[in-house]
Amino acid sequence: MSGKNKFRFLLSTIFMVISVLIIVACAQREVKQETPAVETLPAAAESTPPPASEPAPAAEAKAAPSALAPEAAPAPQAEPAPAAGAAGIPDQYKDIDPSLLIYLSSRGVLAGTGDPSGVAGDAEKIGQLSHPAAMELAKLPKDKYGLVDWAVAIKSGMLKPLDSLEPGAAPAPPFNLDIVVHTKSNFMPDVVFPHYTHTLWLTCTNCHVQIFQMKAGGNPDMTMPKIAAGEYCGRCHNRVAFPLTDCTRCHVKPKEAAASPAQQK
Amino acid sequence: MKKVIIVLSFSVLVVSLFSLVKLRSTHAEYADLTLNRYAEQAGMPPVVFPHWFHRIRFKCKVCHEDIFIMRQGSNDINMGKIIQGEYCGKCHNGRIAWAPLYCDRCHSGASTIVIPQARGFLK
Repeated sequence: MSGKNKFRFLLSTIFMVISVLIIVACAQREVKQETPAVETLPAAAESTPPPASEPAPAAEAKAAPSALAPEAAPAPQAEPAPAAGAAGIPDQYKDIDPSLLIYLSSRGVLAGTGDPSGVAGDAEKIGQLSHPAAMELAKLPKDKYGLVDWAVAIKSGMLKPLDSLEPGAAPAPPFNLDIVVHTKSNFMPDVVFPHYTHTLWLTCTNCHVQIFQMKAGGNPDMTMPKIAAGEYCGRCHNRVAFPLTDCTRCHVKPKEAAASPAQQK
Repeated sequence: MKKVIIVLSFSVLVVSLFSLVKLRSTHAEYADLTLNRYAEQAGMPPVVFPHWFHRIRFKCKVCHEDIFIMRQGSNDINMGKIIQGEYCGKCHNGRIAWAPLYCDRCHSGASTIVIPQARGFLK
């Protein structure tokens, strides 16, 4: 009887030890998966204050034309490696140039690897169209919400996105015109719409005439509730472009009528 | 006493298994899109389209609105069209970008995937 009990006790303790071992293994896996996110975020924070100093050379090297590609590929190898964190890269990708790794998210979820030759597309291989190499979301400048500040990214030269799929198409110059949109309340600062920043990414027909009438004061129905419902600016902002809660990024011009009585007092 | 130990260890095992499952869940970024008009009906995981990943390489105007209409649900995309060079297949043809041969690169989502949304504003 006692021997049977002892046997049962032994069995249950062995079972316990095995389950504890499994938990420890799980925890270690979890730590391994979590560390890239933890490591890349401070790295991003460090690299954001001087956007031109550190990430720019890597971006330039990556965006370099196809003629340089075989030589340019090993060059950025040294720079992304410490930022990405050697621990974050799974074993099967450790021998591969980090600039070729294709990430699906800022947490370092890897989709796979690029072409080991360092050239992304066949078009680039025959010298038609250059294809910028993979770049981590974590390395891009962020706004106060931790979302990518695409305007800073493109203006600082970190990014050189292509204008067209046509090889050798001349890039369209941005259109420099600021439009003041008067707000309907007497306390909210007016909006200054910069055509320049928008035409770095978009062309005229993306917005005109479907979304906005091409005339100052030609969109009298434009209100914040409608924008929040996905019309006007809300076609992109709050969905793909920066969110509407970042009020002062658009409402930049204080009302003269509202400002003057306050100054008189 | 022994029953309690067995039940406890079993529950611990179950919890650890769940944590393993949770680790496999995918993660999406702000501005990502889930494309699931046909995917799950056809037994494939939904597509998570990473906007940021494409924005690094191409300006918005390259795809909008010649290839994709800028409103979710207004593009009737299926694999047949992609293979024939429409929609994603304009680039994902093995010439500009990799050919549509690596299913899991795009069909990477789960039905439970949550796209981070802008919050705190009236809708």
